[in-house]
Amino acid sequence: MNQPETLVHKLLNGDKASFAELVERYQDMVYNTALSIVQNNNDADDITQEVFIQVHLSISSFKGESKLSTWLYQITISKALDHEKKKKRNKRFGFIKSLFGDSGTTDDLPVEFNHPGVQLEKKESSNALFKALKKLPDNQRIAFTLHKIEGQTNMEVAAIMNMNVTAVESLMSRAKANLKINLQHYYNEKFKDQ
Amino acid sequence: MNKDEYINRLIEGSINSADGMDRATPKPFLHTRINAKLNAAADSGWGRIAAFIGKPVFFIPAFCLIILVNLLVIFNNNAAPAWLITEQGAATTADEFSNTIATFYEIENP
Repeated sequence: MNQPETLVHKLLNGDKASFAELVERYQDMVYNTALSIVQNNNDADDITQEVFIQVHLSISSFKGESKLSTWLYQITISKALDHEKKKKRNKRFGFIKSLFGDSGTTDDLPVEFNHPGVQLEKKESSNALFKALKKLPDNQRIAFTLHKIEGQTNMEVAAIMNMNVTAVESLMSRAKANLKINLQHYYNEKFKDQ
Repeated sequence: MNKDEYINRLIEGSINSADGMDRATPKPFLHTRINAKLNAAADSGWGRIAAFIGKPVFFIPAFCLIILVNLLVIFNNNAAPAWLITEQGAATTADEFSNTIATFYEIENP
């Protein structure tokens, strides 16, 4: 298996086998990050494909100043957030579309999200966590996803988000505080009759 | 355990549920699907045109050229020809001070 630097070098020379190796090595990382942000399997799959297509087309712009995985995380986050914005925009114009006979797709319906990597006994609590995560501001959500779900260190999160470590730590503590508030609302609503 | 304590435990459990989570994997044959998309984009004429237009080698000079043409048009329109300004100035002054001879009566009785 090639080192990331060798892989990039081979990709720059148009080596097709290296691209296959890159996809094989980083597909789970890209897919899992996209899935944690968009919380939809099909959307995450589309984003994963888009990320690798962009990598293929713009590998020459990768200068090697950061780690290859950092660059991949940055592309994935940017694509996932763009995808969410596009979806929100489409939802906003859904009413107008319905007036012209386009009834919309089932993708627009809110569905219960279950992360495939969660252990069975944690399904319910992780479901609540992902609901609460959706309500966080983008930067707090990204910091939490990278640190807690992807298991990156604060330093790596800082490199991915172009911030210093102190800023990431502050983002993480705000994310946890806001998550607690959101989860409190969720559980209070759930047990209000008991 | 009262309700608040129970909810607090659930909150902590939810936040910690992300720990030890396995990575999700995409559907099989991802590389094949990516290659199919790449080939489809390269095969279509529009894809090739878009790829060419998107290249910095084409895009940056084209963008500069458009800006340059716009600036030329703006500055050329602002700078009106000298003869027009003079003529307009003379006509306006003559009108304002009524020093034009409008009728033959004015010629005979200045």
